[in-house]
Amino acid sequence: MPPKRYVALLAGCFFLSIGSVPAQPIELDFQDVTLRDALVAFGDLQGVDLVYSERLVQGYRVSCQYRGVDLAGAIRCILGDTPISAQRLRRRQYVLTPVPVEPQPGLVGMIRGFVSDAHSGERLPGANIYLADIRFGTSTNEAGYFAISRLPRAAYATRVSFMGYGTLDTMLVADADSTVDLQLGHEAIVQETQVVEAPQTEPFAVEPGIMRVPTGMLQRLPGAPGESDLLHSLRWLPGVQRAGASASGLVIRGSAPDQILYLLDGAPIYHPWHAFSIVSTFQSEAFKDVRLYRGSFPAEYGGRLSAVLDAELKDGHRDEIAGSAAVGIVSGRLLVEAPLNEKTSIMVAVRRSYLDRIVGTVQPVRSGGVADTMRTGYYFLDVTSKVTWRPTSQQRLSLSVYGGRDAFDLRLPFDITLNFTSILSLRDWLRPSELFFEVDTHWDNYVANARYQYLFSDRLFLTAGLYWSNYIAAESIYIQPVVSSSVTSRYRVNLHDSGLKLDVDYYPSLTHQIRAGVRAVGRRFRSTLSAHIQRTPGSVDVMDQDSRLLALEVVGYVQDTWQPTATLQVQPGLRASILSGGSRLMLDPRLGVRYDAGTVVLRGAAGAQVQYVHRIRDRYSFLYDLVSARWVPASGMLDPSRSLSASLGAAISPMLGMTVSLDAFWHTANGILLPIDETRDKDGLEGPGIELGTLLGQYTRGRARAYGLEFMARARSGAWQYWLSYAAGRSESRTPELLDRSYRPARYDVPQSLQWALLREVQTFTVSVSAVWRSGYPITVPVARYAVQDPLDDVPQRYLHRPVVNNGRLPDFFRLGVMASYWFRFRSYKVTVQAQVYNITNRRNVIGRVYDPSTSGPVGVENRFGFPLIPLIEIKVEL
Amino acid sequence: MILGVLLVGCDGTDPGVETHLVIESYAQVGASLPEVRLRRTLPLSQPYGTDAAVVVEDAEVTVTMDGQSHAYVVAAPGMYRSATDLILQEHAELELEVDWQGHRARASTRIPPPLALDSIQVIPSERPLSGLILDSLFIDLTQIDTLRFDTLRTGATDGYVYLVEVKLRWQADATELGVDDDYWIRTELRPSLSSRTALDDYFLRPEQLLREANIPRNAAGWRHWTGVYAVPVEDSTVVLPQHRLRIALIRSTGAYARFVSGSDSPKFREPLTNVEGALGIFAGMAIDSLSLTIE
Repeated sequence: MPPKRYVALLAGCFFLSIGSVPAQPIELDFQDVTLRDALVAFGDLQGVDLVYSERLVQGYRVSCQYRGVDLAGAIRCILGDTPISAQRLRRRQYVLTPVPVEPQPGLVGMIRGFVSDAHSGERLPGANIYLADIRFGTSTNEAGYFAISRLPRAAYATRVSFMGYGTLDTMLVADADSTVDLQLGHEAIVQETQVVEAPQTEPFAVEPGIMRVPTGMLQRLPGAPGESDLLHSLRWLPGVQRAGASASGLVIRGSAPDQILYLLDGAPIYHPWHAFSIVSTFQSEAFKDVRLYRGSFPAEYGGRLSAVLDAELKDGHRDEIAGSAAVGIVSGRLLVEAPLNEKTSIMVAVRRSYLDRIVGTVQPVRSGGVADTMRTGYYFLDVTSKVTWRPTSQQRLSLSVYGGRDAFDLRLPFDITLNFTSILSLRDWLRPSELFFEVDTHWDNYVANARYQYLFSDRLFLTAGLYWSNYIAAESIYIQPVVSSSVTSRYRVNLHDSGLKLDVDYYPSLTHQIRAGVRAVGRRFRSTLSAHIQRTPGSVDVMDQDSRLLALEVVGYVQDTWQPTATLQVQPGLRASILSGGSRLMLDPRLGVRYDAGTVVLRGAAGAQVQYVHRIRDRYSFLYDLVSARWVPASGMLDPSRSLSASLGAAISPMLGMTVSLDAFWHTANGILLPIDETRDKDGLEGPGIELGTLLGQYTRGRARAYGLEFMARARSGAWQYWLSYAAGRSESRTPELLDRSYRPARYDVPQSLQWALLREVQTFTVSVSAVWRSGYPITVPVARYAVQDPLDDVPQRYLHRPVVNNGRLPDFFRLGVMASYWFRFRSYKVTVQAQVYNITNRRNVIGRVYDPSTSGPVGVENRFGFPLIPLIEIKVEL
Repeated sequence: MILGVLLVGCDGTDPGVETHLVIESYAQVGASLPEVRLRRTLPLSQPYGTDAAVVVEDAEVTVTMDGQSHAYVVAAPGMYRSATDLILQEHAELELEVDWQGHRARASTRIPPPLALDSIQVIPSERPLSGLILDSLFIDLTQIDTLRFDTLRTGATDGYVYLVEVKLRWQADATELGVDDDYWIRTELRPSLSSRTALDDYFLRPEQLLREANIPRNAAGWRHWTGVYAVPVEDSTVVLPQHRLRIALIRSTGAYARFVSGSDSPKFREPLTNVEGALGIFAGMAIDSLSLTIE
């Protein structure tokens, strides 16, 4: 600061010090000083609290001479010609704000920009931007970009928010040429002292049916088996269930698991599960945004009937190396994010189970000089990586890769005494043998996805993508139970998708935001089986089968997010698709409506969906489809299935930090594949084979319907967080081709379910308690017993009469869990120790039931039980 | 929650108090009109035996063959016979009607052409073979989630077995079977002394159900089938024990095939009935069986 001006400032301060006494005259004399220095001096010496942001006062120099007793007048003098005004909040406290730019008639401007994470620089898709003055809201696209066109040129009080981040309140000016970069942190930020009055309900859900998953909070609830697991977190949402304790994946609103589309950076992933569906392939920490659409979804999504889970991988930290490593009971994982240079960042996440490493995969066996080997090995592994290159602020190219594998390798010499109650004495069981059982099976998912995003102009955003997704299941079996008998079987099935995507976001005006795109997907299905069953040297059956299918799907869509008034938002859309093989053009209209009534937000959605792939499984032979299912694309021999959905809901915020929502839904599907014989399951080596026509012969076309209510309440008060979700509904199906005229409970029909959780976070400790209660799954209960004698039998055989499928229900399911975590600093690392007890009451939930008619007395009942109490621990280190 | 309860309503289980009639009748070509055995279903809580609680003796039974009705009378508890002395001819159409407690049950069937075992070849292994005797192959994956390894039912012991291969041959005349040739063949090997092992389900083939048209037929019109059964022995030095072997061959309709295919796992499913208004089976069939002494 030049000496002359410094003197002037000191002189001013002197006068101020005199004037600091109430009612005393205030004398100011600033000459060409920075506004910030003048304000600091004035505030310090006059005892006035001035609230302002650094950004607001930066760059201004002021001169001021004032003599009087009016504080406001003195401040006005300091502010001079700057576009800043002062407002009195309370006695001796003033807030400085920009002078609102008056709308200039005939001139329009635009607000556009990106929303990103203040710490890592990650662009945030789905962030909400709300202009409070005109009650207009929009959200960012998958590149974190937003644009609001044809606004009257003015400054607008704006709130920016995104789940898991603090809000940002700021002023944005609609002008001709600037693009803003809005950064969100984990604490609320107020810029330019602009406190925005925005709705407290789930922020401005512009897309119908969407549910953003608060993975951060859900991860801290007990339930997942010691894993950082995104799909397990979804179970806390109303209407979302696990299909079973250890099988088949998720069920949403009672629909079959194959009716959910899982997208990883926009590319489909077919079987996102490890460990017989106990653990999902989605590591929560690798994702920056997770959106779940249930029932009705926007026109850009399609290909499944009931739900879409769209998960967006992190780009990687742009400024520094960050990462975490964790070890749990089941697996260990590592996540690293780093900038490669100024324009490029990378994220790599790796996870692997290690039970096989602890127990060992090979057990040498020796006896009497003869050597043999027992192999026992199971592991899962997944690697997720994304590289993002930003050559300019308008362009971004990303390449994401996912590879996941489950492998099960088992070779048992049969000359053993199996005693699984003594698991620690494996070696004692074994002796060399010429009889053995050997199985080697694996199922893999591989996804590679390249995506280019380009801000073509302020109003036009282009996203182009190319992806490749491959699902493989392979099972090899060699069994020799008698020296002269054996079975050798090699089976492999894969579905290979190659897709091209092009999406365009166009922002023509304030009230319209148009999104359109095209997709072309080629699906290649192949299934091979080579089996050799030797019963005796002279009795050999050979099966060599090869089944192939090619299908091309072309899709186009357009949707408009239209806001005719400040309170009403309508999102009409149309999706058109066609499949090779003579399928007709499918038109799926979509509609979403949102009405903001001030205290309550009403939302509704309706739409038609089509599904071009089906999951089926052989129900006869152990030689194929043993641990995996197959995805078969629709084609000339297999029609797609269709559905109609509608939902209506309301969300309110009765108090700060609390959100309550209630939704009603209705869903009907046609052309879904249902087993002809629900009771049949694998029981032999022989089966009808893998030819598609033969396998499809085990299924019939069915119809399904579902309806229900979903309630959810979330609250946060200080250190406490509460979560309550409740769903009531029915899911039913019928098979008209089997003359099944009335609907019956579907396999995953759950009339009622309730989940609640309580979480308390105090400094470094977090404790949570949660509970799940739901109706039991349907089962087929016999109603009578009878006997019939076959002409080749000596005595009658007893049977159970089961006239109606799914006429009964298993007992209610209940599970209580607790989790506690503590974190501390060790050097520069943050170490978190997390312990949980799964099913702390050790409740024996019945997950299956078998009736035995052969008993001489009353019919016997055998129950199968779910997981008992399981203590779990995880240690996580973050850089 | 109240809204939810109102929405989903009650979800009870059918207690199954209704009693059903169970019909069992097999009409064999070349035999007289078939006997009809009638039983009733009982609730799950009651023991199921052969006593009076099970048999049905107050029903009216009629069999119509080629348009002519034949009344049946009770010949034994639950067993109905016709006094008519008629011999069933191939391709004859039979209809069964049973009236009981105000309900009528109906079924129909067709009499297939007769069949005869023309050739049987029995080939035992030369010596006992080391093999698994118990159900070592049965690993119930569905029980893994219980984490109770002692329930996995994988107990394995080894021992010795003779594997006996049996080749059957019978004549099949396509013109005689009829244009629809919708007949099925059921084969069965039943040795007298081997206790069945779990191997039967996987590697042995003591029985099979096949659509006759799918069984290969040579130029001379013979159809072949090969089955395998096992005879457990104590050690590797024991000679093949002498035993009886019953070999059976059945030709019947698709309805009987569906009934048989659904009868192999009573814990999980029941046989499909072809009787309208009741349970059970009414099937025409041709049977040839033979008992041999194997040594």
